[in-house]
Amino acid sequence: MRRTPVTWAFAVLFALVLLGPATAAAQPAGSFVFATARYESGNWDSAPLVPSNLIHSIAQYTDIQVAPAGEYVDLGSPLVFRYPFLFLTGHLPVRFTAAESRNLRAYVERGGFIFVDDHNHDIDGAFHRTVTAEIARIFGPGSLVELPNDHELYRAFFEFPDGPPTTTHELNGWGDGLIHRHLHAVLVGQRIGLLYSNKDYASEWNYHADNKRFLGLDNTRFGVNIIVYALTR
Amino acid sequence: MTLPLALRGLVVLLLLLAMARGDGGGSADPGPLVLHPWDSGPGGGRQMTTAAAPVLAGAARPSVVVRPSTSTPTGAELELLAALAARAPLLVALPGDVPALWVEPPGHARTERAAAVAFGVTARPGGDTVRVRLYDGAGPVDSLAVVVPASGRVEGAFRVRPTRAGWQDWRIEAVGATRRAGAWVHEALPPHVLLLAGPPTWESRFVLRALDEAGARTAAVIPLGRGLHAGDAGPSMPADSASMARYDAVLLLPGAVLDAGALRTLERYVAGGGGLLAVGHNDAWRAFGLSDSAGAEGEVAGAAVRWQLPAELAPLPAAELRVPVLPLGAAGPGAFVAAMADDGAPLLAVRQSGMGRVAALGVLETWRWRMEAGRVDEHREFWRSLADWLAGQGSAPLRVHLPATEGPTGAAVHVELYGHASAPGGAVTHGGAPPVLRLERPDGTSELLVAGRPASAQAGAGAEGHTPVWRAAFLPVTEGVYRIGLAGGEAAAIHAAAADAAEDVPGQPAAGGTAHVAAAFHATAAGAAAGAADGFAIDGAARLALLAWASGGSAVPADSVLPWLAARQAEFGAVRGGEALRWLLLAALLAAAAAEWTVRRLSGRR
Repeated sequence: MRRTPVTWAFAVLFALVLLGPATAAAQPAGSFVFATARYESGNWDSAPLVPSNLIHSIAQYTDIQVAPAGEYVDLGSPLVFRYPFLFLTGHLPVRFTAAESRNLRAYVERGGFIFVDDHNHDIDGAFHRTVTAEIARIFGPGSLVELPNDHELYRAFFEFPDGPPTTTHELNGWGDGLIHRHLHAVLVGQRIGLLYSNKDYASEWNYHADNKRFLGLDNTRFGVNIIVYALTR
Repeated sequence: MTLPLALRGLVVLLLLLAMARGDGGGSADPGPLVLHPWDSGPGGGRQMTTAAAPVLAGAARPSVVVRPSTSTPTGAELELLAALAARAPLLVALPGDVPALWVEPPGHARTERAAAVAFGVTARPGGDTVRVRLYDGAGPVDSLAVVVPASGRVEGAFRVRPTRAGWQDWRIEAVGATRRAGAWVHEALPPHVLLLAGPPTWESRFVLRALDEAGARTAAVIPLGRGLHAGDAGPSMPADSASMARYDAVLLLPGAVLDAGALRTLERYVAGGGGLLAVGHNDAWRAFGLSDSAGAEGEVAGAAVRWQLPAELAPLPAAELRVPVLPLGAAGPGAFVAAMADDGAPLLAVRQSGMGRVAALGVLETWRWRMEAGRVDEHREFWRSLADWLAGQGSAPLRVHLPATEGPTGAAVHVELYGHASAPGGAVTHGGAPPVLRLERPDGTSELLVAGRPASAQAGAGAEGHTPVWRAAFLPVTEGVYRIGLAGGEAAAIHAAAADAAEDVPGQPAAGGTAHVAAAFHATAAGAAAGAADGFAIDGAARLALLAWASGGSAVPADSVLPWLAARQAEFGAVRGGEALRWLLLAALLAAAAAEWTVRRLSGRR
């Protein structure tokens, strides 16, 4: 078979995709890597611009050494433990596999921090109903508790005296038309192991970082708090 | 029917030849030389000397010298054995009065701080596993399975963390024996640790979490940017000594800014008794004499890190992961390499500095043990025990004294450590942990000796007129000058070892045997401290073991002597049938000949 330049390009691209997870540990020691969790059910990639936007904010506001690009990692893979911070979102029903469930529990118990955001902003939505059921199944009934609005999460970098900032999707009445006053969390001791949001930050932050300059107030600032909290508590 | 006369003569000749070879003489004989005990009745010593004479004269080269007796060797016998050990490996049976189990209590126990209850077990050598169990007043606490090496002697320690002040007893059971050890536990709070880091990383986060979860008190200086900081210790390290005195230990992580002023503050802090750990921080390593440089940053396998920690410290377990490292360069004078990569690059060095303790760690991301390998408990205990150890300051400077500044190779050299001469009333007391001595051998290599506490009753007064607070010993195997001092300090005493008559014998054991030597004398001091037997008996036994190990042989329980030889038959040759049997055969043959002659005479036959 004659190999055209296009064939070679595809081959190189394919090799890079295959090597992706293996090179994950090649980040400089100490760098923060924004990792997004891939899970088998649902649509894990519903907010593809969130990682780069938050990476930009971390680099802009803090002195934290951050890897310039995020990583995607399978929740059911042992590689997930290389990334103590995980972002997980989606619109569709979620049913974690046995390996994903096992990893998720171990991940939180070992000290990992996972931020789960409902991309539907709808408490009757498929994602919310299924993912909260999954969290209860994995961590036990009642494990997801309401986070008080004076929690240190809201002071970790920027001050949010009223608790979690509202999103435009809430204010516009999309989804369930509610403004959710609290976030929820699975706590390990006094620390957050899993942070759960109904506020649809995935939609709120899913824009190109270059467009941030058009905002009167950067709405990713709360994302900085989440990452700083995860890195310091 | 009778044998032809020539054949009879041949049998007698062969038997006589065998008798001549069986006395342990014969320079062509490569077999073992079995010595009679020195004290085996009148003339025992002379008998041993006679048997050893051909060897000492160079006329015989036995493959191994065996002392099967379990009696305690006398001084004269030890001298003879030392000379023999220079010519052939020495296999000795451990004296019967050596305890099969000895226990040493913590040197200075405090509540909420890790301490070590050390033990030694003598058991059948050759890979047997011995279960050692630790109990306190409330019941079982811990247990270990230790593999008995070929030497028949193994040492270990349990790490304990007393929770209440006052007298505490520990009990250790192993090999059917039980020993108790007690120590006064002083009141102390969990260590208060100040973490100085750069902008937050997973390592700073997980170190703090491990210490918090393990019960330590923590404070941190973690700059976030824009003038903000995390942690409750303020935006920067306190500059005054009074504020620093609130902390028992400081952990310096990569990225922490260390200017000249901060360095001076830390130097004062450590000199006054504070503990400091610098992770991947070359400037601090150099400033505190831990390492003069750093190697190239790289990665090592988690399973490839070799730990040689003080007993109070917990290692990170072998795990399937890769971890970034910044290896140390050459360890500074007095620094002890406590962990290294598989290529020998130092990854952890510790030393005493002033009144405090300092350490340098080149493993940059220990959190991977916790997250990737799931070793949460081990990661937690690694950091907590390290904080405990760093906070274990407070020992007054000790003086090193050598009663004998010169002597022959092969003869043990005792080291005595005294407290400050200004101790009230001349009573020397010392409340610190066992001091570590650094011995520099003539070839430039060095090793550490952990001193033991002498039993005050047996140890008697030292050369300075009062009881030394610690004792150690080493065995100079090669000729030359040995320098010894407290680890972390300069050499405080020297000992010149001169070659004895045995020096120029080919095949003499290498100086590497001193590794066992240090361990054995540590055991000696500890055994005396436990009061298991009288000081001299233990000392003689330990010297015997030292000679054996330094010669390339071994000291084993009496019932293991023959199995030891059998296992090494190809190397040392088999122990032959024994002289008694040979004499019996000769006597039987002579009796038969006499009987035949008598019968012939009585029957009138020629």
